[in-house]
Amino acid sequence: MPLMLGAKDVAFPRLNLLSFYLWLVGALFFTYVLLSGVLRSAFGIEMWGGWGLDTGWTFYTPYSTTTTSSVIPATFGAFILGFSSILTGVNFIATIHTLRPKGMTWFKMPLFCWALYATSIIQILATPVLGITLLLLIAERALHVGIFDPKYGGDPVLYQHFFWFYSHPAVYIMILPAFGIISEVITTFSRKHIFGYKFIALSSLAIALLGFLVWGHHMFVSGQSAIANAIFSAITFFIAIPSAIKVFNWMATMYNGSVRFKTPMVYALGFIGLFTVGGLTGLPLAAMSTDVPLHDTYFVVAHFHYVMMGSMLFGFLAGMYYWFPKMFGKMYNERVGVILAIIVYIGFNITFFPQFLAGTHGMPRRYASYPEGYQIYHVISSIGAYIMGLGLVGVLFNWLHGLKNGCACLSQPVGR
Amino acid sequence: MLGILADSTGNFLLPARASTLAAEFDWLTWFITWVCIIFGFGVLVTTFLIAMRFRHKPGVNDNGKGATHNTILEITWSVIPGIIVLLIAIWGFQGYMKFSVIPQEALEIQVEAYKWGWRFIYPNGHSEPTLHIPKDVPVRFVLSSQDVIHSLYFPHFRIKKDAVPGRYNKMWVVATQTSPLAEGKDWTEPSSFSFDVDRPETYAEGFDIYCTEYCGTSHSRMLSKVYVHPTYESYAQWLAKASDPYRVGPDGKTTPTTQIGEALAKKNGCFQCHSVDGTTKIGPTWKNLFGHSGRFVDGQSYKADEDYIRESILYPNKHIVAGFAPGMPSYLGKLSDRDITAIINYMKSISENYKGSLDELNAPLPDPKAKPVGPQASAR
Repeated sequence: MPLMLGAKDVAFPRLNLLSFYLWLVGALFFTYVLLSGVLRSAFGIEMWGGWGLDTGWTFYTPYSTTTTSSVIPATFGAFILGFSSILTGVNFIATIHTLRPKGMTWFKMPLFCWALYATSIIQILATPVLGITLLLLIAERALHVGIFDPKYGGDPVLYQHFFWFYSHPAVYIMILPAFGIISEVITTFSRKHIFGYKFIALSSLAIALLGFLVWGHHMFVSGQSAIANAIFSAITFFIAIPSAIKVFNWMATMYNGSVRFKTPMVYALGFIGLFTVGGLTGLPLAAMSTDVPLHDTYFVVAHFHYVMMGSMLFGFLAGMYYWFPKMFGKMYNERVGVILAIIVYIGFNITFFPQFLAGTHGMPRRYASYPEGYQIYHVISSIGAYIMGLGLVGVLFNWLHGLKNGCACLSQPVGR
Repeated sequence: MLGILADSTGNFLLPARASTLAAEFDWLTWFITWVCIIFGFGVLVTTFLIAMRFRHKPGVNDNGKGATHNTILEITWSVIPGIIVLLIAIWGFQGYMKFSVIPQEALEIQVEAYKWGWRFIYPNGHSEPTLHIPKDVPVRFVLSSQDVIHSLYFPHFRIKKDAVPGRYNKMWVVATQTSPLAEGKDWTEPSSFSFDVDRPETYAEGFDIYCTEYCGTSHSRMLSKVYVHPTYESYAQWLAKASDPYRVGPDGKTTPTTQIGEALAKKNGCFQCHSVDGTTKIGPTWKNLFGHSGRFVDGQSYKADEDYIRESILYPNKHIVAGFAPGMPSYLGKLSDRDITAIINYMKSISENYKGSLDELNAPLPDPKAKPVGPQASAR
């Protein structure tokens, strides 16, 4: 981002470093807990303080306040990670505000910067709420203060409100930068100015702001009042519009362009495909009546992976391939890159598409075993996962090979 | 052979439909599915066509042609999806309100979730791990949880609600399809229903019940079944049989009396205050209680025989054992003479002081037409 703004570095380089170290510490903490759990259950190896984690990523109370697993170390790890996130958000906002070169007005800024700006807003506004929630959770577990556990006079649904107030916007923290990358890649490989710059830039902001007002759509069957459900449902539908705008604008950008099917572009096209499926399958989840049977089934898992994993992964891979020469001054193998992109795309769809059907047939999430009727979906899904896994290992190999043997080249290769 | 599956047996998208709400939800699901198919294919095919039509031709320098924006076009493609999603939102809201507004005259069944199972409590107080409801009758579920959050999900009814500790959540259903039951089985006979989570061969009968909120190790085994009876009478007869512990089963046998006693004690909450393993809770333990001797708080001595136990159940605060405080409620009128005998037989079976044989304790008790024990009956 500083390069895009013509700046030497971010506004607070030391804060940036601190943020990195915090991320490292938090991640190590969390990984230690997870690893200890795996070692414990699989090999019977005891690690100090390591009881694994069995709450799922949501830490729903009162399960998380009563389980014997290492909830406190894990949440503390997440708490540290939260600080890393907040500091980076502050840093990026300051950089975008103060370090733009003369003449680069807001609406002349690259779209990737707009995406990061919207992301940073979410990071500094939502992450503190998660931090507080995790502290409250730790307090309840350690000191038995009644906040979320009804045993001590708390309310478990309150935890869900707090949790989703962060965790829904967190989804946008992950997807918005991918939007930014795709806007850059499609422009470059279509040899054309982005279509509808302002709509794309403002839709990022709209998603960031509306994203704060939809958390209740995770709780349609929790006992939340019908009127609250109705409001959350309506706002959720609103957020579909800026997302649709982006897809249409990307298509219009290619129109009349000169499209080059290079690796980053293939990933960007894949992104449009996955994001469209992911976005459209959000409709039956946002509608209150159809969400009732689909909530907490594999349909949600599939929808979430199309939007989050598919789109984020494809955005990330598009970005990595796109800036690979810029970052390392080396080139990867283009042909292999394109083939692998297609393999990953096919593998992804084989993995997650059957899960939509498993979900509409009622397969619940987080089941270790399941009735026989769901077998076929799981088998297809597993086959897809191996194909995708193979493709991704190939991608890593292609990068390593490019780093070692790739031709030294310009930071922006000719012919792109 | 599976019996009645009526008209809707499910298709590639949805499982069989078995409630009035399911019809309500399904048409919107189909509408959205078609929107997804049309728009999804529209976007994918158009993207593909554009990319192919405008692909780079070597040697042609065609950088930067074409419009960079078109406000009218952009507003159009914002407004059209806007109208469609608004319609879906309104229809979704309408359907949801039918799910939320529960008719007053519904049959009420309490649902208690715990790690890891369901307890369905019928209007007469009888409870079962599986659910029985009549067809075409509104049924209201009042959900609660004893530990963590669980979620009660009926895929064939298309409904689900969380069971949250510390609050009551409610939902309702009118079943429109009888659940599958093997031919020749009697709907009113409790032993016709054999669901056991450990035996997948019993999964075919009844509609599925799943827990859909992660609740720990055995979350995926927190399964149950709902049996939809063809008529209200069939349901009522089943309930009458199922809630009679002294019933003669289809094999001509009755439940052993000590087991009936244990079940009655459990159902009436005795084990909240009395242990059966020797530990002291709020009241004296039942282990080795029968036949032992002790003293009351006033110094009088007693021997725990049948009369002592009977008096303790019906007039619990008349005599208090030394070391305990008064506080037990009376079961006068709540337990019949036969019930009390069954409980006493159970207490004998866990006491070393009882020297008789277990067979004797388990002999069926005669049916005295189950007269409740009233004040007249026990007047001394």
